[in-house]
Amino acid sequence: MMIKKLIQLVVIFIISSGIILSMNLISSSERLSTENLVNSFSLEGEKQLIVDGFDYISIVGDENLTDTVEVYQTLIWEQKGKKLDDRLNGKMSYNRGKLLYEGKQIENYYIYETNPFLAFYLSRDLTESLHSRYIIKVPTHIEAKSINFRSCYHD
Amino acid sequence: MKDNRIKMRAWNGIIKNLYYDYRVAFKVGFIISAVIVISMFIVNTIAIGIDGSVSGKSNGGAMNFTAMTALITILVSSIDLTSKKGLESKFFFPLNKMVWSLANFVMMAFAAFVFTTMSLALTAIEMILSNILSANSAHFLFVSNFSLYEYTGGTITLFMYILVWGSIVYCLFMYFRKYLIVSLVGFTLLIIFPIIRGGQLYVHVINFFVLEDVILFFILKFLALTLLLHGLAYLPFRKMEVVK
Repeated sequence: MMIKKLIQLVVIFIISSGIILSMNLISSSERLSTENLVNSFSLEGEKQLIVDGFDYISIVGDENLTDTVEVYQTLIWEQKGKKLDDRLNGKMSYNRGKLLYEGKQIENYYIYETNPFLAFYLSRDLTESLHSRYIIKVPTHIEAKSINFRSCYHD
Repeated sequence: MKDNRIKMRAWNGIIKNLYYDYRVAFKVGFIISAVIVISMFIVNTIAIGIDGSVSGKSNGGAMNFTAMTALITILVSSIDLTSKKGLESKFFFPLNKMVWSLANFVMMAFAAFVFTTMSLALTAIEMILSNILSANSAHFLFVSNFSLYEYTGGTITLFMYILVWGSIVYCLFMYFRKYLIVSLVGFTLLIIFPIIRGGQLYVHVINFFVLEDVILFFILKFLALTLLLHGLAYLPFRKMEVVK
């Protein structure tokens, strides 16, 4: 009886996984354009960059970077031409390899990439940034390669 | 040969017995989570019909509801399992304490797998319902947050959290059951001491386990912790008098 139940569970597990991942593929074309946009940035000489995306970005920077890079996060809730909301949601900044949110350090922020379950509990606001516009202010003297932006949809 | 048959009989008996106990938790967890997911779909549909304003939704709701329900039901089940009635009602010939403890570990892993599967099934249902609504209404959109990497990581994480949470409660209440006063004092001191010192001991300990970005290490750490907790729980249980 237990074996039968276990087989049933495995079947449900596989079917559910199939549905979730296939739904993910359906909307991948929208993400692709975002991904290209995010990756095409060059910071050199820029004072302000605006990144539109339905996903978040992680910032991988030089550990020795001392200047603060401010990341303003604006929720736009916009997809398929439907604009839902427009509000300033908070401010993230990046300094010396640390990502800060409202002045507080977010340790190991990469967790948002690996763990959607935990992300929900750590910070709703940051999880909501999956549908955000980022305005990134970068001091002019930062070297071009000191910060990379990337979409969370890199598999 | 006869010994093996007796052992198998004990295994079968305890696994079936524990399964029937957990079955209530599975049913309650599933019903609560399913009701929430379907209610949210109905509320969204009605809200769009009445209001006509645009609203949005991203996935993760079903996973979080089910996870929370799982943590609560596992908590109740683990407490019940270590209660006097729970312990004594499980003992019948030829069951011994080692078999009982190992069966508990197996069933806890099984329960974690059931809740994880339940969570994924409800997430899939949530996604289908939301996509139907999104396709049929200009006022609703649904965004899928899961990439393959997030999906894999999230599923493993969920499984491990439920397993470890169940093991913590099981271990803790086994000590409370055997040495109530000493355990209560020890537990209180364990909570208060680092707070008085103002240190971040527990934050570091939790971070060591939780904030691990290499998924293999994450699994190994949580698995080691689960085995350690079950091992620790066996110590007071071994000295316990359980008669039926």
